[in-house]
Amino acid sequence: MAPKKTFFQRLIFDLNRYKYLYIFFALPVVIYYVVFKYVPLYGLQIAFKDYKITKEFWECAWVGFKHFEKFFTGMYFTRTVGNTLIISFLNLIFGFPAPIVFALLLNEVQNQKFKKVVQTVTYLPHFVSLVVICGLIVSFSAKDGLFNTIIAWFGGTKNDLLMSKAAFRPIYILSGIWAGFGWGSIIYLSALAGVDQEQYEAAYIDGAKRFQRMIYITLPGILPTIVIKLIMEIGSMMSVGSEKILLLYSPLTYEVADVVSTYVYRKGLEDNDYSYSTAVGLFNSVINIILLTFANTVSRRLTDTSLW
Amino acid sequence: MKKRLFALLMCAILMVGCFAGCGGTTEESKTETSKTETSKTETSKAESSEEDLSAQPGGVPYEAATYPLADGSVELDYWLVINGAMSATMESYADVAFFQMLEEYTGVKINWDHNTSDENFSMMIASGEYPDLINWKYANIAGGVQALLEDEVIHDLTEMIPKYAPAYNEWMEANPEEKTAFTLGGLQYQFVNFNSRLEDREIVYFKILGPQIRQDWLDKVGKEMPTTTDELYDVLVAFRDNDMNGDGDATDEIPFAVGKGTDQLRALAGSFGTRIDMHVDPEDANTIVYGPITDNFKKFLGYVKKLYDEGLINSDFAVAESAMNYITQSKAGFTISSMGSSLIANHDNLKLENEEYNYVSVPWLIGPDGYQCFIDDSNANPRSTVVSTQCENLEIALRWLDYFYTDEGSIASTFGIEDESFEWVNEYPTIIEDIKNNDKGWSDEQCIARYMLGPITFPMARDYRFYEQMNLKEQYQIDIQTNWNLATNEITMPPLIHTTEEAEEYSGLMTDIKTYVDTSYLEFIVGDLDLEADWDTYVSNVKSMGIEDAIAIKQAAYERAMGK
Repeated sequence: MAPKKTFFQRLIFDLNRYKYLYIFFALPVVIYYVVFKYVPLYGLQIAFKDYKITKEFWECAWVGFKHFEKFFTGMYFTRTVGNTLIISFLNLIFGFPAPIVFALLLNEVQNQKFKKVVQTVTYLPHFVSLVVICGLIVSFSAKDGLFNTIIAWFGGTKNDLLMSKAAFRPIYILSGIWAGFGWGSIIYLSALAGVDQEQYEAAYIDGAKRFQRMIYITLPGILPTIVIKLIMEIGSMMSVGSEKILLLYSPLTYEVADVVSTYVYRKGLEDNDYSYSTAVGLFNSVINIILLTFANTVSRRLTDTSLW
Repeated sequence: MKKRLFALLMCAILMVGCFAGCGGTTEESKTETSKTETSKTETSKAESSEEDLSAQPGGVPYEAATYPLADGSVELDYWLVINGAMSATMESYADVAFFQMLEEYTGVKINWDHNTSDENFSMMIASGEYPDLINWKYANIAGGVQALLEDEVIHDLTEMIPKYAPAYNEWMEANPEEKTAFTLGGLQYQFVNFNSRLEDREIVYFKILGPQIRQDWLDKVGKEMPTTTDELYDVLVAFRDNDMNGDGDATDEIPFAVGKGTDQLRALAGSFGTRIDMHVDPEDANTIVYGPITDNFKKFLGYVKKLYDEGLINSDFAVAESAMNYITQSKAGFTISSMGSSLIANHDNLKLENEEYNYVSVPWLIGPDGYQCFIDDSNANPRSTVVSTQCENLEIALRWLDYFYTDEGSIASTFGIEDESFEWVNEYPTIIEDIKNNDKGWSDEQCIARYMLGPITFPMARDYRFYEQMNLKEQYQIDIQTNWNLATNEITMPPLIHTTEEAEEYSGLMTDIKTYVDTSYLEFIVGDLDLEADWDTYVSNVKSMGIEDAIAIKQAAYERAMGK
């Protein structure tokens, strides 16, 4: 029996044998991650410094946790973090199940032509620029806009929806669902394709009704996919994108709409406070990692499905 | 072979996929840029600061410039935003007839860089590689322009301007008020744009922002031109209650059109002796106050709230993209806005449709306590050109910049080339009408901009006769100047100079305060906050955020400025 090879020996053997695969497939990805994701980590140091754009990184003085303290004790800390979590949470409750339900429903459709048309139509909003979508939302929410016409139709009173604190989050979440559920369902549809057809037949013979088959066969079949998506979703709870909110909010709705990323945007790009906004961004990422690890551990304990 | 091709194809797809997926968070992308900036700086650092120009002796009597300034081998990099009227028809300023003439005349080639934005400015500074000439709004950059001087990004030109830019210096000496405004307590560093009157060497101003009203609507309801805020209220009520635009619907009129940013509303604060920012106390010229927490501001809010509650301003004023839509739809009776070329063009179009249409200027309104203030911010943050420390041909650069302020250069830059774009008629530089003709649908302004710098903001002494020909032709335009000149500026602060520490502390305090005040201001108007019940809490909140420290910084700088 040949002696067991060490890891490096195996690696070198592997590299040698499949060198083109490694060069053409793995290398570009590795380079991408090193250049665009790891090297920039060096810049994170300005979160602990007083960075000035006219100076080099190493010329700026270390200030410890000054910027973090400023953020934690600032009057907008609870508001921005709170809004971020609330919006993410609402998104998780309403936005996350939408593509799953849609995929399950679509799976039951027998007419292939109809199915394809529905799929294509629901993908469309994904390809529309966010700016255009927000433009639509703004005009639909105006006092003479579509939403108000509908509200008035049902006997409600017309209101400038984007000026109302109560309406901002529903508009944000619902438009997000509208724009994303079709595209988001792709991954579930592909998972559905992998469910063993024989199980359905067996269930059918055992007398399971359509709904029962969906609950007992389809859903468990795509559960690993759902769990992985959920873990990733939880891991990005703190990163509500700034773009859409920037396009929709106004000082009137800051109270319900100002999230960490929009705050970082205003501080960093409008006030040029780079160190401070880097500190806030770093804090955000750290929370994200903690949430991700937490969700992953819980999931591994409960369902045996996990990212690592 | 086929297999290999397939593999290559897959690689290509994979790589595209990689980069398409690069949607980093704000923080990630920021650190990415910072990093690339650093590496660039390392290489450039060694090249810079070879010549120590500040060591040159000052106070030397100047030598008049001789043209050409150089033999054609000198090139200057000029970082400057491209004006909209020019970018509409041209790639860069190199295409302007005047600049082509100037290149021949001075023998200096300019490499225009119009790739400008707030982000690009920061990146350019952080890269450590500066163009020779940089044109930007310096008042609101981090740390102020002092930071750029301290970190040796730009030159202190105090000694060099009298020597190499005598014409600019002469304008400044002849106009001490502007000299104070455009220098840091006598420290010269920039070349600014102004309207000039050669005969008495005066810097002249034209009012471009103010209240405007539909005269034909006023006539229809039989009201006089409003002069006070109370009269304005009556007029607005009449506009609301009648079918002013005659479309059979008496409810679609918006008496007072206001857009997002609500500058139209804010400008009215002057009628109450205040503004949404620091200003001089109208009752005590020695004191700086923060407008939004004064009783005057409360009165102003009460007035605006009344307008809002009674439907006299468009209900979507906090989110409406601009008030312009309501004006062009002939729905608005009154607004406060700048009378720029686009608005004038809109008015002209509406006049073609409706003969009666007549939008005219209104004098700034007098408030209940007799205030009629207006603070013209248009000069608070001017675009100006500075010279970077990496400029190798400092003397030529300054002489080139100075050309625009010489008697000859002022006319040439404003009106372009003699007999091509302007001609002297009775010693009056007259723009040749023919250059406005075109078959491409360009506006007059766009056509003119192909020849001369008159229509744009550029560091030069723009001859006021350009303005006379372009913006003071019609009677209503002349009335604008008389009407809008009526406001007083007793609450305006003189230009204040801060140390870098002061500037940092001030902006650190003010960002959060401004966010809070902007929000509360709107909440008071729409009724989310009650003006009577919540006012005291609001004021004490602003105070607890450190407004008093911010006021103290301004007060100290104000006293320093007044002491001089």
